Amino acid sequence: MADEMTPKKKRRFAFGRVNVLVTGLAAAFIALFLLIAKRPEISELEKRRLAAFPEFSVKTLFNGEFASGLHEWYVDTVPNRDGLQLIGADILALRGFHPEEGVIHGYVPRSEETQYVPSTDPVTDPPETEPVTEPETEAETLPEGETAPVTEPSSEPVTEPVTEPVTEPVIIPETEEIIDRDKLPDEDEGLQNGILVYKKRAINFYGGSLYYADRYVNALERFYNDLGGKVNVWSMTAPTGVSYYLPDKYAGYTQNQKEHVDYIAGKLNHAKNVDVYGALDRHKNEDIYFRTDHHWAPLGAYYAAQEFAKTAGVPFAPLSQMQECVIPNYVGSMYMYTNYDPTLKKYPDDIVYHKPKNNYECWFYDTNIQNGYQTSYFRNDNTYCVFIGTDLTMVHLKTDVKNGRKLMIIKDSYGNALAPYLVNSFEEIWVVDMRYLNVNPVKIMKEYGTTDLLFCTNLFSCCSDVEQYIDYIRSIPYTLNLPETEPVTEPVTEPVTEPVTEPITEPITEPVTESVTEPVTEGPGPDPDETDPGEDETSGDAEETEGGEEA
Amino acid sequence: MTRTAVYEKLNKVFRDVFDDDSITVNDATTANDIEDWDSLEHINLMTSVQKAFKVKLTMGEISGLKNVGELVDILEKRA
Amino acid sequence: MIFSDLFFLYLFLPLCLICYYVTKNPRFRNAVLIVFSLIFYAFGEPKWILLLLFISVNDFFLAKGIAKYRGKTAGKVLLGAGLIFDIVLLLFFKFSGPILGFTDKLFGASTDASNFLLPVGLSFFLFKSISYLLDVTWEKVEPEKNYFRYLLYISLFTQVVAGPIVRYADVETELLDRSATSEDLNQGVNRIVAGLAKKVIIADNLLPAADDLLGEALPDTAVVGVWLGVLFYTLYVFYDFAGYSDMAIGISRLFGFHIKENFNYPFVCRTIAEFWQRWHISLGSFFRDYLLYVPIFGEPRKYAGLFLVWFSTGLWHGSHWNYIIWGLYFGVFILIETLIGKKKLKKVPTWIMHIYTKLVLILGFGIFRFEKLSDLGLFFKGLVGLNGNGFIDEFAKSAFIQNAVLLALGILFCFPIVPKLQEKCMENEKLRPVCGTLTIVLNAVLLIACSILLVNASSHPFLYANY
Repeated sequence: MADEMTPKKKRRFAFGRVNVLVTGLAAAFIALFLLIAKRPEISELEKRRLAAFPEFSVKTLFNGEFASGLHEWYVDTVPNRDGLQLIGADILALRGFHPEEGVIHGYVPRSEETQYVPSTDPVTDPPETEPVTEPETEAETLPEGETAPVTEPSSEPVTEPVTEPVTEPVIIPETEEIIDRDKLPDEDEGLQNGILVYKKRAINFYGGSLYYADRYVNALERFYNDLGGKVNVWSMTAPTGVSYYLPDKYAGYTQNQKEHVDYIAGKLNHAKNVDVYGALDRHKNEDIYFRTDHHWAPLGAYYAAQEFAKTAGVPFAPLSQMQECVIPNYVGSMYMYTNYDPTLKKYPDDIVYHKPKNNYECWFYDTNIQNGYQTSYFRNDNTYCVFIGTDLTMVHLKTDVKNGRKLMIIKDSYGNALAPYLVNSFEEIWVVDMRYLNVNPVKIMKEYGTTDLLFCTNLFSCCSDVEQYIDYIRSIPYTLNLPETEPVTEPVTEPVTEPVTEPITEPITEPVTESVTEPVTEGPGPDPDETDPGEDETSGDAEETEGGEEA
Repeated sequence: MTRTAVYEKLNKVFRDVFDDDSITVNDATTANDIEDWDSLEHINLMTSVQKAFKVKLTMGEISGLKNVGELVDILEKRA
Repeated sequence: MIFSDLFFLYLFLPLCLICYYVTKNPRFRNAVLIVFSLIFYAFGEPKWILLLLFISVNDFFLAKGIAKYRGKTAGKVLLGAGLIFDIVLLLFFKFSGPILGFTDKLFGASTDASNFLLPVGLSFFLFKSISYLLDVTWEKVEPEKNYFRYLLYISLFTQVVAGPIVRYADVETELLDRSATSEDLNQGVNRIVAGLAKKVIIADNLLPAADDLLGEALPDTAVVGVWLGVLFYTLYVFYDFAGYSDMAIGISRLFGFHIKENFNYPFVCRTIAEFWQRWHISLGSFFRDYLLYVPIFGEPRKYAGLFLVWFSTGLWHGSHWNYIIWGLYFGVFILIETLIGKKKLKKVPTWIMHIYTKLVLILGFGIFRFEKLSDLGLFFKGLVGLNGNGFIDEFAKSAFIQNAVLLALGILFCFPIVPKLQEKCMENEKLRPVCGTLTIVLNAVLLIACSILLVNASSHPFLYANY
């Protein structure tokens, strides 16, 4: 009896021991991996800088900051973080089903906004007095991290002539540079309003408010007045894909973009509406919006540009006169916003974009319109960042068109895809982002003799928060020097080669390593002759990536 | 009081409280053995025991009993 | 620090195990555990460590005095002092925030009540302290002679954050010395992985699903959505806390501590009373042993005791009204069950009892969730369709479809399937190797999967660490 029992018992114990051994080894392996493998500093997936190793001091030790910092660093900078997160996303996808007939991510509060009755007549707002102080406070109350980057817009009146050049450029905190700012507001909106994934397409429910639409209109009127009525002000409120692709049964979850677009068009006074809603509607069966990204596709931007050119009375180059480029397998921002919906990963987009064939120069500046250098508008990037790369870059395009029309586009990221289609339509185009610009655009326009000002934003931001940025940039004092008046202080070096594989490093390294190319004296904008040979390399650009890796 | 006498009286209390004449308790009986004996009914039981034996049990004694045997130990000493 | 955390699992715990098993000397081992426990507790918020130390010193000396003057007035005074100290401390930290908030509103002052944080695990280790003092008074245990062993009891990192509320009597001998057999290690590993999976795979994903339906969208959620949301939430609370308890028990076992179960498949209960014998057992038994029989007007009283226990259970969970309602809500159902009597309840068909209990529980966890009474009102209206959102909509359907597998797993593991399978394996000689291998593979796979998911999750604190 006893003899029989022993082997049985032994066998049972053996399983237990092997269990402890195997699980222990797995744990030891993971522990070792976490301990010795290289830790990343940035997350490409989340577009942010990861937690840094905490500074040690007696004080931080005893108030607990060191310990929490250590913990945060350890769990935030896990080796191969991005790769593991994507595996995690695949595991998470197993929690349920993702039928193509549609799943909703996030939550969907229903709209109550439509009954909003606008209060005051937009134009009666006194143009000069209010914006000076108001935008500042508003900028401060923007949600997390959305405060405009300038730290000290002075409180002097806008009109006061400024004699002293500002000595130091405003420094943007490091963390803000790396964040792809164009995604932050949209991300929040997207999550707040829910995203429907229907037939391989992510559709963000629209939740804008007419209250903000009013404010947007008012802000545009103030711009018109600032410019002394001499500049054509255009308003392009780009609808998001929800207007064209939402199945009827989900109609109750979104507000009607058409109503809001028409509302704005009806309210505009001196600024003129560009009816892109109708233009896009006519082409909704083409690929005018990405399925996996919250932006419009370049083709959508093309039709919008066409409509704008028609409205503004400028020439326009059809697609046949442009060079088509394709970036395949693009899984866009919606993949993250939907908490990694597997359908989107399975059916990626192609980015089909077009390069102008006429002669033009493209100059990149920082948010202070400093440190300019000539480069290619199209970046070595296999995402939507192929346009300009980052919203922190302000662009000046100088073309071979001679029609006396000079354009400034004050935009959010929707504008990035738009500008190339207007290179055949204007002599000059400034492309500045309303959320990051640190210079008063009115000052730039007066300096460069701009004739047309185009506001290009998606309707969702337009009817939620964009007006705060517009008012803010308008309130920046005219203190900053534009490129041509700036004395050359730093050696002129070349924009080094563009980062090849890692799009994310671009915003970080660019302002740092690529120092000023300063055209010294003449002309509106920097002179190409004085600058670098590097241009040739960079303008070869994006084709190299076209074979590109998966996003 | 002898242990037998305690049991005699105690069985009567149990049968009264739980309304079941088939109950007979011994040293090893616990709350698990009598269906209705839960922590709430325990209060009624203890109140009845205190009345029947004319003793006062402390809260520690009431809450700490492991089985009937322990209760009988206490009652044997005091009643 | 929490258990379901890469830092804890792969840095803190291995270091602690290595230091612990370097020696066989029980004193050294205790020293290792104390040092690691204090680091664990102080991590990130060191100031409260002083409170923990103070309570342990206070208890240690009080208990000695209580034992010395047992049965005399001095003993009673010392006990009273200790209890009042513990209770006042608990009430102070739990309610000073809300009270400050209230007085702020009253006087327009600003003491910034939101900064007033509850020391982590306070409710748990103060209850340990109370049970110790009472047990010493009632001669269930003799006071600990060595301060450091008592400190180890109070501060042991496997229980300090969210219980279980281990009794001193249950670990008295193991505080002295203990050894973990290979079976302990085996079971410990199984419990840790099981707990981690409950927390990381199930609980952490159920919560966002519940939040989508019951969060800001609550006024717009259709009837089915509200029910689904509260079902998600109920399961979330269970898996969050049961997962934590599994890990606490498993980690303790790696060091040779044997801790009583805190959960015993609560949702298979037939009555609400039974639910509370299976849910958060260490808390329920605490209230039973130390509060239910408290003399009211000279002697313990059934209904007053019942009220006291359920009022306190509610209060213990938080200072908002909904928790008190929640506690009394359970008290009412237990009262009704008592009035009907067990024998009659037994005659009711099982399926009716299950529908009744599950309904009561799910509604109960709805009450548990909504701290704002206005939200609670919306919730109840939503359950019966008074918010005007219809019976079912695409949003609710979508929430179900996307989490269907998770929900199925969540419901499945509410039943004691794993123990049943293990039993089968034990009976059948041929099945044993299959089960053994399966356990090993599952543990490794789950551990790796959970670790990967932890990379994604920025921070999912355990719900019960707030109490």
